[in-house]
Amino acid sequence: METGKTGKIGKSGKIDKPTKGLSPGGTHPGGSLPGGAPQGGAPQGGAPQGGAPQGGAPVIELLGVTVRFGHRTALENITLSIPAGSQIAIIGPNGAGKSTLLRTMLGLIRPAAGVVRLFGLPPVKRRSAAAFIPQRETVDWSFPVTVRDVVMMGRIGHIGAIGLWLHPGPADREAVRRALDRLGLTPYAGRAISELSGGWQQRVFLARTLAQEAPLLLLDEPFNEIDAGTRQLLLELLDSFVAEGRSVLVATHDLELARERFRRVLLLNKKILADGRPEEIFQPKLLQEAFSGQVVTLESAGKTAIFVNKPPTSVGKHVEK
Amino acid sequence: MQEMIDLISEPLSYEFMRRAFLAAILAGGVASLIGTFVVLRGMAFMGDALSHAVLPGIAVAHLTRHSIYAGAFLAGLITTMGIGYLSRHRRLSEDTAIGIFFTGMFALGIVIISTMQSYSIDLVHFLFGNVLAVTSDDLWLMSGAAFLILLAFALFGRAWVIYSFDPAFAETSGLPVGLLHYGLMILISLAIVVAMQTVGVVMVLAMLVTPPATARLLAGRVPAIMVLSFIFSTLAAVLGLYSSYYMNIASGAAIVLWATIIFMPVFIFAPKVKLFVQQYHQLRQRCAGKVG
Repeated sequence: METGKTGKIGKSGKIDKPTKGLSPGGTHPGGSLPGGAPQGGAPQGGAPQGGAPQGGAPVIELLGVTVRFGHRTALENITLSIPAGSQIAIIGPNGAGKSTLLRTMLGLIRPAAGVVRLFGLPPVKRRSAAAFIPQRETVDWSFPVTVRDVVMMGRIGHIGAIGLWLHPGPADREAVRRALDRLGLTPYAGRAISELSGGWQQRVFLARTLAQEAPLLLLDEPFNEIDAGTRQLLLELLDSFVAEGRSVLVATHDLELARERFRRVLLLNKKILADGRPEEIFQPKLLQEAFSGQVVTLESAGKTAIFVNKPPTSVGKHVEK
Repeated sequence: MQEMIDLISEPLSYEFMRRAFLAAILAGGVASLIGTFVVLRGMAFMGDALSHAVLPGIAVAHLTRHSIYAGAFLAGLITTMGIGYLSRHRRLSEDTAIGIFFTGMFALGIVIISTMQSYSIDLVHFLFGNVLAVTSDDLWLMSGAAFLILLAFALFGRAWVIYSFDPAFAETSGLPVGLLHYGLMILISLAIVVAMQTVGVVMVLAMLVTPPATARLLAGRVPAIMVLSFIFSTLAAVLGLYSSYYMNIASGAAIVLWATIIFMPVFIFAPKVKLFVQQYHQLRQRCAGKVG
């Protein structure tokens, strides 16, 4: 894979020099990495070439990361290690910094303090190893592109985006064809994306991620505004991604989903309040604390029901079991 | 029949008219290609701002006997950077920054021009353009700019499409989004400078926006929009110059008016045309399905 081809043109790269893995050399107050993450041992060996996760080297590492927007602190002292093959849900109340966390991991937001590593390098250098599906609102859905065009965008790491006479090769066409097929988009390949419904637009983005063949997938609220069929398909896709040894991080406010379908859950509210297996996270006390009274949990017959009450300013949504 | 041919060929017998046709088509073509991105990214206000903000550059260049193109381009760059800088402030949105900067620049331009002796003549010339006064030096400059812009499109076109559609994806894919953003701004400035001579700073926006908007109504992909946009702008330029010649009306305004006149029927009939094209494609697909 040549995913790193365009990665080196990042405009910032200011965070610091590329080092192999994290080497907290006294400047960072966080000390050494926590061993708490499952199989997230100390980084060692070279940075993974071509983005393929190797051994136990973490895919993403954050050390003492703090993000501020003006005077507002969005994330505070986040330390985190994510090994290859992870399937992680990030949950937390509105404004907890879920999107910010994903964007910081990708280097789209620069932290005020702390170190971020993507495959052992500053994110601007390894971004193309990560496929990202942003929240729907950040994309111009009326833009004149066809479904196939969007999926082909996933191949720019392979084709290149800047230069004369760039044409997709047979491998690119094949990847796009497979991705379209996998998501049932083949009949609509020539359609304008503006003609599709929300769920099908999400499928187009998923197909683009498939075509990207990236070892890491970050999704920001992918379950919003999608139909049941797409939801099911998305969950199956995420499972198969992880089965192939790739890593998946999903920011979601769907607590039910986080509990049922993910192996690891991060409970976030500016800080990481808890990090572990779903059954460890879904404790009434923890949730109450994180959602500051927005969550009501009921326990009966060994099952816990979770109710989320959002403030009246946002759309109320409740999750129950 | 002969009369018809005479009607068409008569203006072309004049050197200044031949140059005017070339200039109008070149300028319109350049503006309509860049304008595709102006329309797709909803930057019409930015385009308007840039076109007005070049005025002080032109005025200063005129006074100091430098190339007015260089002056205008420089002023465009300053404006781009200035707006970018202002809008980084948390309490100023981008359109506010644009509003402040461009009116300021425009006023500065008028102040400078008002110190000239031939105040009203020069001002009118800058504001409304004069395609009939294009020199062959101007034409060479315009061709150079057109070449630069085409080259930039060949190099960055795909990246601009991706960046305009999904900026977060563009950035995570490692595209140099800062370079893409400012590169586009620079090209818009360049297109404005080129088109300014034909329609003037006040109406340059029409060349940037109207033909691509017309094309957008009909085409579903960026390359097709660009081609159609170029066709519409050329049509407007040619019709505008003929009307100007025979009806003795202002050439720049005539070109802009024709662009608008072309837009309107397309706006009204585009849904029907689109439906027709869709049905045609479906039919073709069905036929292909049978064969395959």
